[in-house]
Amino acid sequence: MKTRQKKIVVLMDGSAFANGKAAEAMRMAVGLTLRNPGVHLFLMDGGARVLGAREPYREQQALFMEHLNAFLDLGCPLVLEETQGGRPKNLLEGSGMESRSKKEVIRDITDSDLVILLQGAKPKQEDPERTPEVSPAGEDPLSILHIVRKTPGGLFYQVVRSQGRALRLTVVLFPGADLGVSDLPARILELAARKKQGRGSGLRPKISYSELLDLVLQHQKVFCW
Amino acid sequence: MHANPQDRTEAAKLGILVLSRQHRNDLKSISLLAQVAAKRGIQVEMFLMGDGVLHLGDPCLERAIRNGAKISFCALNAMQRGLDQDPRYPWGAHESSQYELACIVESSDRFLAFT
Repeated sequence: MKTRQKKIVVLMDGSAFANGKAAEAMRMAVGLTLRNPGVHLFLMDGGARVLGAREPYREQQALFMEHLNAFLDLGCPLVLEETQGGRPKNLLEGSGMESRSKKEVIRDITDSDLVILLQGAKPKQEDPERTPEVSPAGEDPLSILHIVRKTPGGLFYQVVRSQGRALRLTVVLFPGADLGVSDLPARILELAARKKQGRGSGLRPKISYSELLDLVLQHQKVFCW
Repeated sequence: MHANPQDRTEAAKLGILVLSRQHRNDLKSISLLAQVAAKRGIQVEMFLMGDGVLHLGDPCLERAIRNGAKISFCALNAMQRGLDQDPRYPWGAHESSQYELACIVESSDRFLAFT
């Protein structure tokens, strides 16, 4: 029987508005607190693109802010990724929000029991800064499975690179998904479109749905991109 | 939870969230995973919300239901999109709420969030 409440992170960047998910995701975050006060909201890129949304996202932003204010009224943590541009002025004065570096954000993601990601799929140039590393694991390294449905954004690569040296990572690509790089510190597998179609080139073995399920159950954490 | 990879019958619960409309192939993959898990005796609960409710009635999801997966959805989102006016509503799925999603999250051994 589970007695420890999970640490849950809902992470979003500006693309959540562009694809119409932001307000619903924020409503979901509030709903999750009904059973768990340990829900954290992380806004990337300083939150500027999420909190400063302009037309044609005004209506969605109004709904988003309504749910965000409820989230903050419940005392739930809001974390903004530090950026050089500074935080959105006046929108969150007195809210108790925190700023954290990308390294800290990635560490928090890795330490969480569940991460719900609303992040753009459009690949972007990785930050020129050196990818921060998660602290080396102890004797029993954490195992994390990353499931990728489409070409992921920059944060995926930063997270995997920072986790890879200390943890046991597996990446599974859904049919049609691909990665922009080939040197990630992870075992990379492809989910066969139908029944397993045999081994690929040797670099990316194909797995069946049953094998994917095994991986989901065997890894201690699963991130879906 | 540290799942024992050798014991496939270990009682486990898999939660799946679909928060937006998925590409056809992705929905197929998600549904197939749910089917495989349900056939293996794992308790599967899928929750649809946002534009994800537009997948209600999809043959992929109906197959998952027939194989034992439970599919719930945010009733508010469904009504906002006029789905409750369809005579086939709710297509074998369960009207639900954000509270029940929170319960699924807390009770699942593994939770997959497809946003």
